[in-house]
Parts: sequence; C-alpha cells; structure tokens
Amino acid sequence: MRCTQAKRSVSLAQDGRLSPAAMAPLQAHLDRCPSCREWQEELAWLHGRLQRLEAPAAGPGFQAAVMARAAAAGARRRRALPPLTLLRPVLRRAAAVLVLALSALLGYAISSRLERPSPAAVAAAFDQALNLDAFADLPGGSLGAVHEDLLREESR
Amino acid sequence: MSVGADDRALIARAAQGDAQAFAELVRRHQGWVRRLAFRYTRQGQDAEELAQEIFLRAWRHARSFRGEAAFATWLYRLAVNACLNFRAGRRARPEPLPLSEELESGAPAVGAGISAAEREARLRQALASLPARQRLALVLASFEDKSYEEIAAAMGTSLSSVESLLFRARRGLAAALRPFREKGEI
Repeated sequence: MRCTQAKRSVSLAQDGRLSPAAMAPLQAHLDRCPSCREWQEELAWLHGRLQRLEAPAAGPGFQAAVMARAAAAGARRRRALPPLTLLRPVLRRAAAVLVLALSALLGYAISSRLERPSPAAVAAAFDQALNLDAFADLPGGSLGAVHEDLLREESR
Repeated sequence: MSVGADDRALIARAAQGDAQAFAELVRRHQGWVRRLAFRYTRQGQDAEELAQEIFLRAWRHARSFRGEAAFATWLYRLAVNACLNFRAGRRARPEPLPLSEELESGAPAVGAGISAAEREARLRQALASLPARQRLALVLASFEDKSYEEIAAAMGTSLSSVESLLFRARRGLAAALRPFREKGEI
C-alpha cells in the first residue's frame, strides 16, 4: 500500500468507512511508515479539537428577528403582481379573443387578395353558356369539356 | 395551539401564510441551524445572518415541501444550499478576532500565553480558509455526525465525492494548523 492510499484509508477509518478487509493492509503500512502514523495522530488530534469548537446557544431575539424578516418578505410579496393562478381565467379569455380577431383579420386579408372576375368576364361566360350548340364540342378547357372527358374515361 | 402539532402540519400551515406555525418551527429547529451556521462561518455576525437566511428560505419555499421526506431533512437541504451560496462579510462592521498583542506584532508567542479564545479563533480561521464544499462536508461530518450518505444527499453529490471532500478538507486543515500545533499554540 502506498502512502497516498494509506492516508486516504486513515481518513475513511476515522469515519468508520474502512472495510474490515482493508484494515490489515493499512495497519501493516502504518507499522512501517512513520509519516503515515503521524498523519493518523494528526487526524485524531484534529477530530478532537474540532469537537471542542463550541457554538453559542440561540439567543431570545433570534426567533423574533426571523419572523420580522418573514413578515417583511410577505408584505413585499403581497405588493407584487398577483399570482399567475389568479390571472389564468383572464388570460384564457384574452387568448380566445385574440385568436378570433387574428382569424378574422387573416380571412379578410386572404379574401381581399383573391382575384374576382370582372363584370365583363362574367357577362361573356354567361353569354357563352346561353349560346352553346348542343351538337358542337364544348369549348376546350371548359368545365363542361373536362366533365365530358371524365365520363368518357369512366365508360371505358 | 402549535405546540402539539408535528412539523409537517406546521409547515403546511406556514405554506398558507400562518406565521405562528412558522414561528414554532423556528423555535424547534433554531438550535441546530444556528450551530451549523456558526461552525460553517467564521464570525458570529455572519452566522446569525446565515441562520436567519436559512429560515427565511424555508418561509419563502414552504409551498415546495411535499412531505416525501421529514421536515428536518428538507430544512437541512435548504441549509446546505444556503451555506454554499452564502457570501461572508456582508455586514458593514466585521467582528474583531481576539488576537493577543504578540500575535498582531508577528512576534512568536509562547503556547501558555495563548488564550482559549485565540486558539478557537485560529481554528475557526483555518476552517474558514477551506473551500466552501470541503468546509461544509467537514462541518456536517465532524459536528453534525452525518453519515456519508446523508452528506451526499444534502449536498447533492456522490459518496466518492464526499470521501474526497473530507480527505482534502482534513489535509488542508491539518496543514493550516500544523505550525500552531508544533508550537503548542492551539
């Protein structure tokens, strides 16, 4: 066992974390290494010294000081914006109205951009429909011609 | 009214804004919280500030306590986070350390002339010189008698990390105190 590992093992042993199987090799190393023995003594001394480090008992004013700060924090919280839970129904309605308004706006924008046939074109198409010859071929590309072609295909 | 209630009931009421319930929790747990804060920081004023901050965090986050663990465990995790985030010396006037004239002049002092307060100040100074996570792990292990598992859970780290933190903390502390120990001044 090397000194690096031995020193870590001493630290583990102090916390009761060293496995029984590792105790024998550590002890064997400590028996022949004065530096690691000194480290073990130093850790034991350090542990004892730390245990004697006292902490003062809680004074009577501590609880009052904490509650005063908690009250101040609560007051600040109340002055802030209302929590999201209170705003949720309002936000839902606002979102619905916004969606409707955007839809209406979009519909208007689309419809305003569609090409509408001019009155003259409407009149010409109407006139053509009225003057169609029953025995003549329908004008190429017209809806009637396309319909006729489809019927011919289906009858095959 | 709150004396007989257990911690879970009290924190549940505190989450609804019951200040009296929270005051009872402070009374029950202020002992160990203040000890932890005092051992972690170097100065008494910082310790008071830190201990108050720990409870203030508990008040602010009372609603986040879900009852899966004991209240003390939950408060411990808050305390650990508060320690690691605490910035020492925020007060305007730091508390003076009780150093003897010999120490201030740099002249070597005889071991018998060092008062208990001075010895303790040196120990706390050496402890405060450790990196925050090493210091906290050592405080939890040495003063709070926490197991490696409890330390790992409180600090949100692994067992091997706790082992390493403790070893390095002890190595650093021993090195810092060695000159004083050799002269019998601590």
